[in-house]
Amino acid sequence: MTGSASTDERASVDLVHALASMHTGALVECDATGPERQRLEDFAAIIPSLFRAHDLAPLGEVLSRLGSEGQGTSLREVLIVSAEHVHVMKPLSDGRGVALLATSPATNNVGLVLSAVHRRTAELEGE
Amino acid sequence: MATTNTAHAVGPMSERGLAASALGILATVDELPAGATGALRFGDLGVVLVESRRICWAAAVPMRLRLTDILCGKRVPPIPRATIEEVFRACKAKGRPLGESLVESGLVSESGLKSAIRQHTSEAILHLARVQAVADAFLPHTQRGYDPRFSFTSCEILASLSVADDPARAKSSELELDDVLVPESTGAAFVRSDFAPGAQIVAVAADCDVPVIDLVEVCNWATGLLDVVRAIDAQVRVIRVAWCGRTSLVTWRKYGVDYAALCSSGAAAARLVSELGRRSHGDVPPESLTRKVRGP
Repeated sequence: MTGSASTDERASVDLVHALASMHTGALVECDATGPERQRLEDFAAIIPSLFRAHDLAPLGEVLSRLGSEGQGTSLREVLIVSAEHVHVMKPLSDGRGVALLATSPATNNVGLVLSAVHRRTAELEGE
Repeated sequence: MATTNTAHAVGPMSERGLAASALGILATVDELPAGATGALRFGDLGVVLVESRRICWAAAVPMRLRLTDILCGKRVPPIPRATIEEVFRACKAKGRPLGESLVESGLVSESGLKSAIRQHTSEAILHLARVQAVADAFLPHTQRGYDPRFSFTSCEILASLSVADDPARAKSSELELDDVLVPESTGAAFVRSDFAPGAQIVAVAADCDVPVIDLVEVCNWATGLLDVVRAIDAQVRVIRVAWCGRTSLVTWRKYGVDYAALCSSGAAAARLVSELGRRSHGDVPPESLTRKVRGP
């Protein structure tokens, strides 16, 4: 189930999340409601325009040339920090073309938000 | 290497054509073999001297004496032209490096000389671009010997081409990059060109040696990313896009200028995000940065 944070995560990080199609920008799973859902829908909607495969491959190659040999060129994660929110998008590696989206108030520590997202991603990929 | 170049007059170029032509010249330098030292010849229109993909000097036919003019203006009151020409003559007679002699003579500081050579080189490359010069040969030199203090990456020259449009913007962008970038990162500042599609690079980190074509591609993508993200969250401060491995792009906007940092480690990206995420600034630049120095 995707939509709001689990209880132990909620204790440290106030986070809502959803699954979205990277191809259509539509939410696939989301239990959040109200303004939180709206934020996730808005976030999901921008994904296709930014992360089309034909745009990403050369950019990944450019960046990989900066790193060590043998690094991959696929997108791992997008983090957006604004005055009021922290947004994270993390594609799942199960080949479905789906990404986990998460939004949290900016009062939360960014590292904790990322940890919660990574934990949730691992759970989803293990399902 | 292309062999299409001869001295030929061309009509007025569009700014788009000029940008593409300048980018082509700099990309040619990037594509030279890693350790190549020599002269990239543009027919009888000019030459770019290169050592290990760093640009040491450029000359275009109608501007042979331009460096003297630039150096004269490096001090207040201006250095007499005859004084500089005397140093030139002495260097030629004794076979001494000109840059070293000028600095030793106290006529110009090392940073002043570097700035003058960069300006001269940029103007020469802009001139070559304006006449659509195409490199027709690379003439290797048997010895190295250009002073690395006074040579530049293609990215640095690319940024210099925009300085005349708005020197205050270029300087403040340089300072922002100096202030924000950390070890294992490099980057550029850019704006939308008034005349051509895509990003116009206005400043780069010192010694940024990313191939110019790659840098422009990254900046074009980053500016679109900032625009789209602002549509959903107008108060965005910083965006980090991580690729598999450790490389990341970190991008932010300040006073109407966009920035892209290329990070070769996760730690570098994390430090940038932490620093930029803490900032609290509006997007209204100080008045000193809004004055247009040269009209469009």
